[in-house]
Amino acid sequence: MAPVPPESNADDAGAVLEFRGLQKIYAGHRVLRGIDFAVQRGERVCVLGPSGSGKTTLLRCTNLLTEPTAGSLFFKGTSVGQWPARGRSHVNLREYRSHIGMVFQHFELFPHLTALENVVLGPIHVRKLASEHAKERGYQLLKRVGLAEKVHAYPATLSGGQQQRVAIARALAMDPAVILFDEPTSALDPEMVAEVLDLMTTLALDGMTMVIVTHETGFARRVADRLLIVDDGLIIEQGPPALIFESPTHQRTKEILAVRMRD
Amino acid sequence: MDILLWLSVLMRGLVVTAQLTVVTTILTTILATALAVAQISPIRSVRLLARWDVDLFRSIPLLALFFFLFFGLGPIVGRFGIDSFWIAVLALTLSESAYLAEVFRGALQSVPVTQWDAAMSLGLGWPSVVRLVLLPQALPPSIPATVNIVIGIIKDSSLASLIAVSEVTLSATVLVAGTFRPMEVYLVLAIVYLAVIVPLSYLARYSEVVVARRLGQRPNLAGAGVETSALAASAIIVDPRAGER
Repeated sequence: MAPVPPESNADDAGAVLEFRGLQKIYAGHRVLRGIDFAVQRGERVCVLGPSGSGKTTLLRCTNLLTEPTAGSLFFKGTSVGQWPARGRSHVNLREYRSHIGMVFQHFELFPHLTALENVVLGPIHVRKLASEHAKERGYQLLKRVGLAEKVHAYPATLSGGQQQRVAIARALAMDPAVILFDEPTSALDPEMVAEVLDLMTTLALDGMTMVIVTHETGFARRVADRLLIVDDGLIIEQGPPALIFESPTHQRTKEILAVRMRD
Repeated sequence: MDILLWLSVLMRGLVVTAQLTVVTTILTTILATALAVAQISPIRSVRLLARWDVDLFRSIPLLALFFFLFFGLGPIVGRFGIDSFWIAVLALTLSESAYLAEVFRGALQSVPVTQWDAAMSLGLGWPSVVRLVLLPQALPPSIPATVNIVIGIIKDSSLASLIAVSEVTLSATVLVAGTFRPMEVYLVLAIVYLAVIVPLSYLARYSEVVVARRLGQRPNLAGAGVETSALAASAIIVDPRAGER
């Protein structure tokens, strides 16, 4: 665990992830219309935008759960793929995905496994860690997300907030280079949003590289190093949150932020 | 008294029926799992092959399959000491696995596709996702339907009497030849089958309730429980093959 603080990686500059000209067409509909997007090590990027603007597709293209229609993707400077010409490079897709954590809107824990078993599934079967070692680390992670006493609980017996915290521990267990969050609090009851946002804030302070699709503007403003405003498949504006919140240059950004602020 | 003699003859046959059922059930479960998994394979030819197998063996009447394998394959494999018991096992397994594969396939496909996303995003490959995430979620809800397939195997195994497997129905036929009392003998045979199958029907029903409870859903308790008559209980159970035979 223990992600390295970004300061100590000044010599390791360069994007963890980089997309150039990303496009995705679903059944004739252009969901993403040419996105250039890079995430630096230790950076927290929050993605804001109205429903249907392509935020989720952007994340799914990033870990290739969805294959892009066009664009090139780089991971730590190495080409992962180029579409449409060459498709995926020779990088091992599973190996690549194992370095990209993902936290889903609806948690997507494995219901037949306990919290601990959910957390250690990847380390044991992908990283090939010894079971005892993986379980010890899994226990430490669950403790870290405040669920030490729920180690052997099944997801169905946990609250939404607890399930999402297990899901975050599951992502952390893979020691990912970056974690993608797809509206991690949108499916939660209001009283559980805080516990998940607090945990994510802690991760951010620990220096975890994060890309967060969210509607929580307050959180985005507090935690993000950079905001991306996505509308209709394009990044219409990006920059430090303070700047974008204080003086958005784009009329659509004002509208999007205004809607979100009222929530 | 006659009936005790009859029962002792039938019991010997019932042992063979039980062997036939146990061996067939094990092989059917394995083959059906493979066929169901093959049908969700990313490889088109594998999907098609499994699809053809299921369609083929659901279309052939079981008796026709018995005769085909007995007269077609029997003389060849007989030379290697494979007798009609194993021909019956083969025929039953091919046929029943096609039905059970449909049950398993439905269960596999009812696992939300987002579970695939979660598993793949950890870096698991297709075989691991199937083995670690899909099958453990799909198989428990299939237990009640599987018990019903086992009931089907017991009943269908009576056809093995026609290719000279000395299971319980053939034992009854032999008794009839000796006693010339078909009505009474076959009535006793029917009772023997009933005595075996009714408890299994209860087991199917019970497993349905247990599985539903384990999955955290409200089981459909209407008609469940000891106060229900055996016939009513067996009527409630959904037979995946209803309307196909």
